[in-house]
Amino acid sequence: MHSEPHALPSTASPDGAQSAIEPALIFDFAQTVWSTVLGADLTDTATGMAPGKESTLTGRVRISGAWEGTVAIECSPKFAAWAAARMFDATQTSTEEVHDALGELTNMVGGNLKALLPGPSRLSVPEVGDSDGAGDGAMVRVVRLDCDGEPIVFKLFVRPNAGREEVR
Amino acid sequence: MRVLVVDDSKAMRMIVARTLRQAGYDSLTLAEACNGAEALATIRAEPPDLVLCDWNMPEMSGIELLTALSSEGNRVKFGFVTSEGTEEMRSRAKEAGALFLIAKPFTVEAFQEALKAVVL
Repeated sequence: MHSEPHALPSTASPDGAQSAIEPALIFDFAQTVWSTVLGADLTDTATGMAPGKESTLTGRVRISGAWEGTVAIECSPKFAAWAAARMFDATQTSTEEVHDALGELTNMVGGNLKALLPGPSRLSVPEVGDSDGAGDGAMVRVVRLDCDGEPIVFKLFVRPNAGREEVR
Repeated sequence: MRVLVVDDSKAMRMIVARTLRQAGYDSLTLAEACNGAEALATIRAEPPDLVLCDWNMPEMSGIELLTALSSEGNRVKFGFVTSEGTEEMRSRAKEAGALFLIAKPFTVEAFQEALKAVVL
C-alpha cells in the first residue's frame, strides 16, 4: 500500500544497510506511534509539504555508530501544536512544549527504525528546528503521509562515514 | 509507593504519569527528573521505591544512572521506558540490573504487565 510510490533509489553506502528500511516499514512505525500516542491515524499521500506555503518544523534524531544517519519528521507548526496539545492533554502549549512533543515523536520513530539498522549504534536526543535537513547526509527514503489533512513527511538520511565511530 | 519518572521530555513524563493512572496505579506518589544526573541527586536525597527511566538523555543517560546507582550499592527497583526495545538493549538493561524495559510507544497493558510484579 505504502511502498513503491515513495521509494527512492538507495544511495550507495558501504553495506546498503538502509535498504532494510522499506517505506512501508516507516509507515508502520509511524502509524503505531501516531495511534498510540496521539490517537490519530496516518494516511498515504503523494503530495507532502507544499513548499513556501507555510514554515516547516523538523524533528530529527541522529544515529551514530555502525550505521550513521538521521531520521527526520517534517510537519507544519500547526500540526506540531496540535500534537503537543494531545500529548500534554492541554488546550494551549508553549513553543518549548511543541518542540518537546515533536522531538519525542521523532525519538520514538527513530528508535524503532534504529533497531533495523546495523549496530552497535547510538541514538541522539532529538533536536527540533526549522531547518531543511541540510547537513544530514544523503536522503535515501522519504515517506509522505497525512494526518487529518496535515502533511507529515518522514525522511531517512545516511552519512557516508558509516561504521567509523566506536559505540560504547 | 513513591515512583521517580526520569525523562528529558516533559511530554513523555506526563504520558507516563497518565498511563500509570490508566493502568490502575493511581495511588502512587510521583516525582520527576529530566535527566540521569538530576535523578541521581533526587534518589540520594529522597529514595523512591521505583525508578522509571528513559535511556537516551542529556548529561547522564539512563544506563549511566543505573550503573552509578549500582556502584553506590543502591538497589532501588529500576525499569527503562525507552524508544529502543531491541533484544540488545533489553540484554544490556538486564545485565545492568534493570527489572524490565518498556518500549515506546507503549500501551496501558505494557505497563500493567511490567509493573505487576514490582508495584505493591
